Amino acid sequence: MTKKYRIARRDHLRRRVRLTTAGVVGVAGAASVALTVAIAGAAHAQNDATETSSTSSDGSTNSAGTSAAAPTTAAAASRAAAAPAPQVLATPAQTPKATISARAQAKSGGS
Amino acid sequence: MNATVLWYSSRAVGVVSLVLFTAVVVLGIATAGRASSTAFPRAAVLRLHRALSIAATAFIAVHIATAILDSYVNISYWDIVVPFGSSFDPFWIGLGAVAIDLLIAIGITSAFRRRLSLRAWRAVHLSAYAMWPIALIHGFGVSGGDGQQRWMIALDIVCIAAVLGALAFRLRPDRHPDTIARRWDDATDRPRVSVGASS
Repeated sequence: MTKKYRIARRDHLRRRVRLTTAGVVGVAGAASVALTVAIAGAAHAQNDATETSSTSSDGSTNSAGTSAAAPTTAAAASRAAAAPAPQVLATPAQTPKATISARAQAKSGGS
Repeated sequence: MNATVLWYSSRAVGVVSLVLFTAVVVLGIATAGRASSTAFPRAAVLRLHRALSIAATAFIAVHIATAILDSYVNISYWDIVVPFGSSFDPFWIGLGAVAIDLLIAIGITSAFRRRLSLRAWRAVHLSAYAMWPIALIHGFGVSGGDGQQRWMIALDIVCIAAVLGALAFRLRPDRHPDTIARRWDDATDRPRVSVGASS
């Protein structure tokens, strides 16, 4: 093996290693960026679907995908606005009055 | 920029970083095990390990930046390096901070590899075996992320299988190059010569 041949072979191997590495890293980088965009897009689409189904219903939160969905303030505010107002329960002071008036009505109707 | 975009970007980049770091760990194990083929000589494996580790670190930097800039989760700059001090999900974010600290140590010692002793560099570099599972657990447990999704669990399993497979290949006693060389020397009854010594 002559010195010239050894140098040429070494240079060839170095070039091959450099090209192989650059190719694999390029492909891996492009795939990584594509995967990032795909995951972010899929999560965004899933969240949109969740938000749509939530707001179209009675205001309750859809259980599907809530753990992975982005908690947007605007969406939460719109859900809160769309939700029906909570029913006010009768206070203890009102109950006897209502009971008394109902009894009185029943008594007058009955007589 | 829309906070939702940052939130989704942070999550997606975190997932891709896990995949990249899995590849880096597998290639690191392959480098330590002196794995090579015709298409991928040992120098190519080592180069690929270095290049992919730089790419993975860049992705982690984006993951951190988007997590800080995102307005929903309250993560400060200190929470990135100081573990378990975050107001949002302190344990799981803290695990990420531990992984980042180890990554910084590995990166700095690798950058100044020639100024360090081999023993010191290797001691710090071995902490990658701790960093990788900590990062994986961080991704699994952090709330609001994709860790509990079915596809993410499948991806975690694939990553774990890849690293365990590489470790199994590396730790097989009959595959260790030193063992092979020793057997060859014993079989041929030749005196041992150091690698790279010219005759």
